[in-house]
Amino acid sequence: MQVKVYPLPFLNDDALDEMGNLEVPTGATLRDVYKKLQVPLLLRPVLLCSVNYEKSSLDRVLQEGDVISFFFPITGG
Amino acid sequence: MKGYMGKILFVNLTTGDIEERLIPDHIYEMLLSGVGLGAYVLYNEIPAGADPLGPENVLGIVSGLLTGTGSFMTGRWMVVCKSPLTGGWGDANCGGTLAPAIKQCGYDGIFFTGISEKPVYLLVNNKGPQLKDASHVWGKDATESEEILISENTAKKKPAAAVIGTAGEKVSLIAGICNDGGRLAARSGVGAVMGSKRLKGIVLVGSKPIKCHDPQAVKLISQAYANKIRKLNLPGIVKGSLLPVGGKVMGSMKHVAPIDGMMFATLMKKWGTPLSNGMAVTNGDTPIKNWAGSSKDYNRSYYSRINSDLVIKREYRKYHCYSCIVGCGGVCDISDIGQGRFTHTHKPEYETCAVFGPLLMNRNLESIFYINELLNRGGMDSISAGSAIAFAMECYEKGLLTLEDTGGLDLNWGNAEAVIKLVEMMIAREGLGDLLADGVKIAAQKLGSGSDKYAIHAGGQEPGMHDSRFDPMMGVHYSVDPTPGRHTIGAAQYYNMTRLWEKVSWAPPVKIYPKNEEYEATDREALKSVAGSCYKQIVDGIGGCLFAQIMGVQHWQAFEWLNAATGWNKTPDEYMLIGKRMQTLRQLFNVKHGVEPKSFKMHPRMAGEPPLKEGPLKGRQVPIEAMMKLHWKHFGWDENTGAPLPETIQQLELDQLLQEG
Repeated sequence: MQVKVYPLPFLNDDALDEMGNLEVPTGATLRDVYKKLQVPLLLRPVLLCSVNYEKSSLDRVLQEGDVISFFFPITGG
Repeated sequence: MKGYMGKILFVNLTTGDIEERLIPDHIYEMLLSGVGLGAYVLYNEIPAGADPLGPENVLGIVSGLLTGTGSFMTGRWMVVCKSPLTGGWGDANCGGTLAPAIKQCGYDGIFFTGISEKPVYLLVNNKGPQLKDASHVWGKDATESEEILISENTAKKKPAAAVIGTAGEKVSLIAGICNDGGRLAARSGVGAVMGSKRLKGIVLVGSKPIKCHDPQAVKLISQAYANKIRKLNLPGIVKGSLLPVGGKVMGSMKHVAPIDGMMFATLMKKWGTPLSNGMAVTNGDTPIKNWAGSSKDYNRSYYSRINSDLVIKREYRKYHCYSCIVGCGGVCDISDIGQGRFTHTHKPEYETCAVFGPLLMNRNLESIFYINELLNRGGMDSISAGSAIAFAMECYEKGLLTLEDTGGLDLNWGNAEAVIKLVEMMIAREGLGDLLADGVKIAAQKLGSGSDKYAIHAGGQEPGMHDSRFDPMMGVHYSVDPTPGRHTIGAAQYYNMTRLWEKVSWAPPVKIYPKNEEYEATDREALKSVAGSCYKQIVDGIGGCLFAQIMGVQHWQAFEWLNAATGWNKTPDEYMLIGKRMQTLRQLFNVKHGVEPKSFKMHPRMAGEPPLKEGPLKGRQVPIEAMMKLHWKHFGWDENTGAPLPETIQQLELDQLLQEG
């Protein structure tokens, strides 16, 4: 199944296609996505990550079409 | 039943004649409404070489195609005219509550030509339009004038109004037009044009329904969008004091990622645009000390004093513009500042905080709140006003302005008291304020002595507070847009978040990439800037908000809303062609009026000439001329002159369209 990922600049997005889609097996969790993105272990507790715009634990089982976004500082206005 | 009203009001202020004009459907289908409709009218109505402050200039106040259809964040009103600041196409836009009122009066836009003998305002209610005497409010500030005109014309329904302040009356070329007690359509000198026509304001009290093709389909798209926004909230641990730390991290990164634009909404909901106050200093986005300094100068001891949390500490009410579901606006208590002269002010935007903070090396936040209210009431653009003062401060430092010239004001960097006084002098056009009230380009021309080195502008307009050495594509748009110096057109950061490639076949897709790529003049970067530019035209045609745009096309579904509202069933590529047509028409307006697009190239300092010696932008340089050429080439404009090519005009069917007009 596919989930959509918006990665951070220091992660590895090789597994994502141009639309940000990531192929994961049924039953995959957010932790599995972290592994594919090579999120450094030390950073895992401090990164703000949401699934479908809701706070989620790393054990959350993902569904087809889920959207995984990381909070990152953006300036504008 | 396609979202638009199908007609405009045309008012001749010299003769007092008022006429309704029907606009054929195909004009909307080719140019949308808003700025596109404005470009069509102004291109045809304003003769080549017309004086921007003369009777031949046409000032239009227009709404967006999607305004009032049930779509979200499509409630901005726009002003169009020939700009006295740049000599070419001028526009400005603003949120608030005016945009739907234009359509509820039965029009997509209201256009003014001529010059009235005495001050007037236009009242449009269900009895029709009429010009009324405005002598009793001429000379009053914008907020007071708006209150009086609304009060005088309130019957069953409270009217919406837009007015100029005293800066517009005195034809300051950096004056804007105000609504909702101090929100400004600020840029391009639109307030000066209104003042030159002796038009104090417009008051609108309509109740006509705004109908569209498939309101249920519009609603469904809106609901899906709203459901996402509602869920978004920042965890409590994210404090304002952490943002500059995040900025530092961001500024030091060697790569860029196309992050989820929805995350921006979380920040906007909490702080509004002042979210950037410290963060943009530490990442390099905020220009400092008239574009010659860095965060080494405006360091923690400075930016911590204008922190985002300190701004919202004064906020006692949040508000939303019409049809907005984010609500980045706020009202702040300032009754303890300036001996209680004002009780409250709109929460100052990031632009105002940056231009009166880091650009002037000022760390007195109270002064920024106070200046915000002075400018809102005077009706003057904060970006241009602050930039003009930065110019004066650097001239003072270099000895080109003396205490005698300043009327005794000590214009040392960061002198908040002197800045307040100078703002008051600019609004009143007194002393040095008179010199600065027409922007930096004209001030430097009058001052001479090589002061143009310190006059930071693009094509006559002072740039927004986003550094082109931080985001070179921002610099491209500062330099190639028919209204130069605007920070709201495009940037790499906007492009990455807008994610046009998800729907537009020719928009280059973005994955994680090295930041250095942004500093290279390549066809790929040019295609991105062209795509951003075309999409921005669509946004200005529908009355959209920039902050909604950068949430991304997958969330804020402008293309889908357009199809639901109009029934046109166009593809995103077809809509982008409309955006290209709108932008090309704006450029043709400039060509018609003798503006050389090359002359809009931003000030060398903005391109890193000379490069900064420290801070996050140390050594950064932007090959702006090569980037401009590539942008023009990919737009189908002459890559050497910037003029649209005949084959592009033909392909966009602009030749036929302009013959009709």
